[in-house]
Amino acid sequence: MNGYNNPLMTHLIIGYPSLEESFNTAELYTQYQPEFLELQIPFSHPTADGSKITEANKIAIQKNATTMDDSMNFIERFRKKYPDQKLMIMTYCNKIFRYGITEFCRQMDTMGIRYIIIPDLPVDSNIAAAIHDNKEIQLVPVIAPNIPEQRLNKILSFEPDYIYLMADYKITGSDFGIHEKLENVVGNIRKRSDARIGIGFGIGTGAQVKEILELGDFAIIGSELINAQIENRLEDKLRELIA
Amino acid sequence: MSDTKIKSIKEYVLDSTSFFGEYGGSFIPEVIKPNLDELTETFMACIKDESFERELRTELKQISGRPTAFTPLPNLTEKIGGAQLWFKNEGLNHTGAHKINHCIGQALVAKRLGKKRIIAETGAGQHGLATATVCARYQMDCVIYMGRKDYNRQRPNVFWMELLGATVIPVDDGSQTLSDAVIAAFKDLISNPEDTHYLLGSAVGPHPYPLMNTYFQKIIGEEVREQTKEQFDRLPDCLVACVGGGSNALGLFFDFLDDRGVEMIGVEAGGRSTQAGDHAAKLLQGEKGIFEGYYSYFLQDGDGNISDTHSVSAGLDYCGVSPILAYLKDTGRVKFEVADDKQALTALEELSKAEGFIPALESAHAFAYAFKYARELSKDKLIVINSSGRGEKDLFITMEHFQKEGLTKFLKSQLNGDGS
Repeated sequence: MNGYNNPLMTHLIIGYPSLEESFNTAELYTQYQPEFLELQIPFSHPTADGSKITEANKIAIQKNATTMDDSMNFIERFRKKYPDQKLMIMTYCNKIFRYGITEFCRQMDTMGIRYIIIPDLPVDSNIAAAIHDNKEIQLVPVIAPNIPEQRLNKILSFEPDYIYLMADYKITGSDFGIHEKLENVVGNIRKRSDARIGIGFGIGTGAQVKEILELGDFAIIGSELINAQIENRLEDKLRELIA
Repeated sequence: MSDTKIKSIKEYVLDSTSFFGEYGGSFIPEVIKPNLDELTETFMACIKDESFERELRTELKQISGRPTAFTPLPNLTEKIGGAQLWFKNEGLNHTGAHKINHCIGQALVAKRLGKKRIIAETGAGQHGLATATVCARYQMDCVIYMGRKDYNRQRPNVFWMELLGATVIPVDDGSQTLSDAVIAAFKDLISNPEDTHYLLGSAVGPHPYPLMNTYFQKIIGEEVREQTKEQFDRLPDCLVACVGGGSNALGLFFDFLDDRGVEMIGVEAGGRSTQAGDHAAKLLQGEKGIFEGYYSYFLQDGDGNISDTHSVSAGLDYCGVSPILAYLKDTGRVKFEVADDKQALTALEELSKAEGFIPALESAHAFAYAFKYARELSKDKLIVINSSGRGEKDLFITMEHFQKEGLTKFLKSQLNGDGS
């Protein structure tokens, strides 16, 4: 098995339910060969996440005291063991700001990580400039169906390889829905860019994945995997998602 | 460089496109950017529009009873034996605190934007109460987010907000205080970016909130300037205000920023100790960070996680502070001091017994420091304290401290139905 071409990005939070268990979960996901694995570095106050992921972050930070160093070691260890599994690293702005943005990017580069997702960091902000300084690292824009055309052009001017698109206006873990403007936004991106489009927020079933793939290149699954993990049906869920 | 070459600080702040020195900015998810861009544009157009200004001044007068009183503290001035003490009584505003100033302002902007739904966070409940009030007045739907801890300790305000027609939602995430309510409100905005205006309640958050709320609060200092001129024909020597997010402090300070002879002191909440999690003194003990949409000082750990905070006053119990105050701290224009829970409660008792005014617990922090500082100044100096709110809303907290048995007995009698 050397494909990693299932059109999915499966998400997990480092340190949830424990550091070791999250590593095991990452290994399990990898067996299903998703195009990407999204590893979230936990933060005390995940401002754009729904209750499931917020709670998981809380457990990672408060109960398990997962540090930045723990997260960096996790990523390095995983990278070495599974060099072919592509990764996106997700966290919030203050985590990397405190760590040192330049140093964070340097370490990502050293580990061979190319893509980071920071939902509260606009790609054209002064703080993001420190990320763009590292030519090997890309900030993956997270956009929604309400994005004005002018703003989309601005974001595409950064020539992203990937775009993270919200299926609807929601926080993570909300009910599934596709916003009426989504198709239009996808069309606008396709016209002007070769970026691959991942669509997420609220996706939880195999049927929903199929629906999303009619528009996007891959589906992003987060909260529903946590639900499945809690209910001990994670493998069933993964099989359903790739079927 | 001579003083004449330094640009006016007031102009600098008002001209900002989002940053104040290195602080401020707009660190937000893309999904709410159109909402905040539209808000910025409309707000900037409003403040250049004379009809908006007229409407705002009329509403502040007719709804809130402005100008608020400027009141001497003769008994405490004599007892302390130092500088003369006066205070600006923002507690006389409709709904009992300065919060109504920016609520009326933002509601008028929201009306121009055609928004029908207003959301807000609240800590002490004063901002939520003022928001619910303007929403009833202008007939807009109103949802208030409140940390569970604040929801429980500010129960009277929850009741009033509901009576005014607002939906109050307790937030169980995090430390269940103001910061968690802010996050919940942002999450609501992420889900409803088109029809909703987020009426954020302090000079914090992404652009344009720090600027916009400072703009709507600056009337406090403008009135104090006129009132001191009328009373003393001069400027005050020192202004003192408590600092949670910074809206009342900036309201008092803003108009005097270019008057270099006027000293300004912001008083943070020292809580119960200087240990992390026991206080809310972010300018004195916080570190630079980016959170809730803005770059400023935050109470956080070395890993960038936001710390819990504590203060006896819910309105100061918040991890961040206005980027405008962060800028004014770094430039040295405003000094910051601290008053702890006990000092605030002591000041509240002193002011009540000596002068007949019961301040909000938030404002009691400003009084506590001012009473201490007055001793160090000569009798010809004038200190003006901003009493940002009145104390009735804190009944259960204050009573628990001063008359715990009385409170317990009263609550028991109510539960037993023999309260008559």
